[in-house]
Amino acid sequence: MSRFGRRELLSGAALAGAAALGCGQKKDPYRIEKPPVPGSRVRAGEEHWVLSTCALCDAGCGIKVRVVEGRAVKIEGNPEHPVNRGGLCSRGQAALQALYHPERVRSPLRRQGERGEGKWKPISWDEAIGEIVAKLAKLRAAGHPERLVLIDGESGTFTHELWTRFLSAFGSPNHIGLGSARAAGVKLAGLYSMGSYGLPAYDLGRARLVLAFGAEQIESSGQTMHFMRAAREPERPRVICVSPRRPGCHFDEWIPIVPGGYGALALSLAHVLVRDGLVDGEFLRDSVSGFSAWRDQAGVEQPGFEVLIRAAYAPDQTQDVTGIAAATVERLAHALAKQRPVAVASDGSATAASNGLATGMAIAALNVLLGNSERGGAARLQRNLPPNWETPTVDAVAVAGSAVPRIDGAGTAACPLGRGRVQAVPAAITQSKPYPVEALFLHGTDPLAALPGRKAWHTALQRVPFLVRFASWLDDSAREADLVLPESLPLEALDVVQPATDSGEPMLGLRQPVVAPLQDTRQAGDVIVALAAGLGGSVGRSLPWKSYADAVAKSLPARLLDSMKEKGAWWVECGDDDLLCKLGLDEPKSERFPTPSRKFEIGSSAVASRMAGFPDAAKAAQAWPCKGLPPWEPPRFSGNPQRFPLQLVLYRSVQFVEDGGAFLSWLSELPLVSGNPWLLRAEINPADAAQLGLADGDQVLVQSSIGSCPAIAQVSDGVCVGAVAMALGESGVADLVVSDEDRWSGVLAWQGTRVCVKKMS
Amino acid sequence: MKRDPFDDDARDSRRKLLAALAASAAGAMVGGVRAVAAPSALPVPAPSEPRRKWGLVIDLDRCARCAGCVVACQQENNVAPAGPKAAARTRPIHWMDFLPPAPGSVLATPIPCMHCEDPPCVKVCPVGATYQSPEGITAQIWERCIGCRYCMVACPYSRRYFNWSEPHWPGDSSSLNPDVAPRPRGVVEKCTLCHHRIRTAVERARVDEEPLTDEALRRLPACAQSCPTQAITFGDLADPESEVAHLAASPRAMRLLPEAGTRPKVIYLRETK
Amino acid sequence: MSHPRGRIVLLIAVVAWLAGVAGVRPAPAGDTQQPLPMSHKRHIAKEMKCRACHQGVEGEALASFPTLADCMDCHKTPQGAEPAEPEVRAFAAGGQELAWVRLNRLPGHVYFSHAAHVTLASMKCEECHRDMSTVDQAPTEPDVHAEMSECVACHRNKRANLDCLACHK
Repeated sequence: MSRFGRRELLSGAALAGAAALGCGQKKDPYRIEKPPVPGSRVRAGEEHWVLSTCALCDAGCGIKVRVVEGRAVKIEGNPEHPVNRGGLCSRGQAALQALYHPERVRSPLRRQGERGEGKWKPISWDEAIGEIVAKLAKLRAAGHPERLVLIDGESGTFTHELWTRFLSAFGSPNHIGLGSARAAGVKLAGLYSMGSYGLPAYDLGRARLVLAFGAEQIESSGQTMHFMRAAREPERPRVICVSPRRPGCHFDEWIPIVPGGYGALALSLAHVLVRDGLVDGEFLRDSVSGFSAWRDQAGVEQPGFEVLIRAAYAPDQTQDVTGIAAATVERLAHALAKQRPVAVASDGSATAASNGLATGMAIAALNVLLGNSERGGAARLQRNLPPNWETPTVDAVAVAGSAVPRIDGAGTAACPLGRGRVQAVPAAITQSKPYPVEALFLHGTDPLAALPGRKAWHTALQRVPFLVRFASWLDDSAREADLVLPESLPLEALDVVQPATDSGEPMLGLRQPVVAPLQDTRQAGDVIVALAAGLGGSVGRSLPWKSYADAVAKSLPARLLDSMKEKGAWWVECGDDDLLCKLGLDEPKSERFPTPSRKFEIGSSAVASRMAGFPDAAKAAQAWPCKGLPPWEPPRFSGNPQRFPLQLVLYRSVQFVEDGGAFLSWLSELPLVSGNPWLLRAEINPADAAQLGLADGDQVLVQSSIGSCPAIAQVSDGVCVGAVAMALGESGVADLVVSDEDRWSGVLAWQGTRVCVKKMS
Repeated sequence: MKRDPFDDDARDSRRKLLAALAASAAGAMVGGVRAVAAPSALPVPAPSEPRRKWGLVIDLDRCARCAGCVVACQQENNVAPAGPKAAARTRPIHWMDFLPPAPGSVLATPIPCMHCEDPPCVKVCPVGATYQSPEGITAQIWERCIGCRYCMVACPYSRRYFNWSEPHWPGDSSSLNPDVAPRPRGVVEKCTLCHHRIRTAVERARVDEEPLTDEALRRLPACAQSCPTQAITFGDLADPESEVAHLAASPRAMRLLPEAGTRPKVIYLRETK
Repeated sequence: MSHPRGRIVLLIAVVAWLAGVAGVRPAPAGDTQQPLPMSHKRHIAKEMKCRACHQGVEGEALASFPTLADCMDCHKTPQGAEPAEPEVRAFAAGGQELAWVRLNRLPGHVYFSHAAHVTLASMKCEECHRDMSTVDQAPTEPDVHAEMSECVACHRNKRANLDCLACHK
């Protein structure tokens, strides 16, 4: 059985589509005959545009969709939208192909026969919801609501917030996101140094120089659009990218770095800035804690960042771990100091290593040394507008259940500084530790394809007595499920999203149904509301809405919702004084950080106070090696260096996100490479290729200690020596990755696997 | 096994060659040799003849290489995906294509039809299927095309594509744009500069009795509309006040293969360093 | 392996030429049934203009058909002794939309704009369509049988745009 996501899927799909197309009729090969839209009330030739928000990444670009006679025919950027101002990348536009994809699940399915056998019985929504409610009610009756686990790939939407509310009313602490597999390293660094968990806002419109740690953000990420807008003359910022692989998009300078060496580079730059007196002294004095000498909780005087960094991380000392010449570091540091305001931006790929949190903290510190912050620099805290629902009423069962430790160990001594550890879920399920999982919901992600450790996940999914997959396609994990609930696609559903903005001021994007659902699908929000209603009691009272649309209507002031409907989004400039006052946005953002010291914390007393909360606090605090400098250490790589001599560098390409996109032919066929664009490529440096006897275009097998993946060798000087670069989102790539993590934060070390490359004959 | 003469790597190797040539042209500019861009072939409109000359300017300094224009074009113009098998035989169709990075260069170059002032493809068409429209678009009437592919040989930019098979869309035809006819098997197709969007805009302006401003035209073709960095600008090269005319006069302006004498109306602005 | 492509190409060429000669072609006829026994004659007798029901005719490419809501704009109050009026009101009560069958259909590669002809060229409907003031039933047969040569002749006479792209898509 070919796995979902394998690109060959399309060829079959293409044949299926041929019959439906009017071109098959010999009479007029140019006429387009379209299938009827059931139940539509449209005038012949009628067309209109619907404003909505793109769902293909977290950037939250405004889109407008052309609807002709009830069918969506084109997606364009919304020119009035502050995020993208009319532009839209390839992924956003390809959402149309997903909408009319032939393999969408058409109704709820119940498994028949064995798991993975692929036998299904279509059932009604009432049956499906009744079945889930019965299972969940049993868990609550037994006093074990925590045995329900949700793995939620979505974040930054009101549906996500609704899940959180449902689980807290139900009584499970196990709302497990993909944070640790995404940009948690950056977000946690924000939490421990700035007091707020989330991506910082980078004001790229104002920056004169952007130093990007990791290419993901300029090539493909939630910040892509911001970067793209910034990339324009005459005043466009100079974009310098530090990454083991040359970005496939526009940049001014690429500085190749050894995988995992980002933190050392950041600290080395800090060393030069401090040594040469290039720091923003006034800002450091007023707004930063831990730069000068400070007293820790025990009252012991600590030397402070300033003294410590002078003694360590001199550019000639970091040369070996970063692969970057000392002269380059010196030049870069002076350029940063000279061309303010600058933005030092880091992304998930830079921090996806065993030293992820320290790397994130080192990069955050670099921004502060340069005075980039609320005071007018280019890196700021992001403010959000959550849904304003009334506080839920929870019963004793829910209180008890929510107090139980999470199965992934986040926030326990196993992962003291982390917020989630999705990679720990398979072992927890398989070993029933700390307790058995009775029901698992998978929403917004297919862990078998999108996360490392395919075998472990497979075993775990087999062990779960009741597995529900919310999915639009029968993907790998849907095949293992007991129930498949077909989810409406974003072009058919309502939601509110919270994108990051340049200014850090809150913004809300409206996703509205562009066309009526094409199949018997529902959006997750409606299913959650129905589950709550079915469970009744305090759970039902906590989610008292008739539908998800009702919940959204009650989440925000009506005036704000109306404004969103008109413009497709709401941002601060759209609000009148009354509304801003009501939302608590009438005051300008405080220049104080929400940390214990109200300052940016280079020494991070937030970490210390967090550590103090653990039973063996003293031991934990001792173990945390941070005494004023981010505790950077060289990255750990999995795999014997003799057998697996190359480091696997994973990157997010412009085409795909982790969970796919490879099945959309428009994206798979993008002509960005020479030769067949459908083939998976492994980029390798000419020096390594020569040693291995590889030529460009050779078929190779990339092997790690746990898996292998066939690919086409692409010999390129765009990858540093000793590395092999492959794109995430392509099927099979995640199978190579060993699931190692940062022991403090639980950040998944995506970039920590060694591989070997063998020519296939 | 006999080799299929129609199924070779010619297109791919030609793309590479073209990319190398383009890169050397850009390099020459950087080196200060102005010969590449100097013979500006922009038509100067006679006062009595307010005829439009549609053109595109692509700013390689702004272009982020996100390939949004590629998908925008495919969506707008009903270009069917080839699928993995046909793609292996170098058959995907991309009216808006990317030249792969040439040796010595690192970035791909977006390349639509050049809409040459002196289009070699038009001269070789035995049936008059392709012609130059009065407003400068190198147009093709699909229904007239006999699929001889002379034009594909003649085009120095490889901007023409042959439909080796009937177009297939995954799913159904619901998402097809009703304003553009799909091309059947055996027909050569190419970029139309989104003439259907121009036609609609011109007609709408006339019906509404509003002037068609340069500002309204700038993002008219699907590629220009989609561009997140607004690297692609469309307009009337014959109007000295238009944005494209201003950009085409930039010292950064260059054309692909000027030595071919085709006088492209797609003008590139090279990168600033 | 032989190469039948030459022959295929020729065949396609012939088909393409043949197809290119024809202009507006009728939709597949047969037992076409319109949803209502709508009489153009009676409407026109009440001095109604074509654009009242075919609302796109002046500003859009497609002339468009009236929706039930358009019908009910007038027919929600009785319009005198109209024999078919009960039917439209019954239809409205049924809650379904009127599925008019389009009779005149353009070839797939041809663009035609009513706005360009009606508004910009000030043409009368009757110059292409038949006189509807005599038609007492909802039409079931196409009434425009234009050939490309006729389009071109008229464009030539009126010094209209003769560029291929004016009409082809």
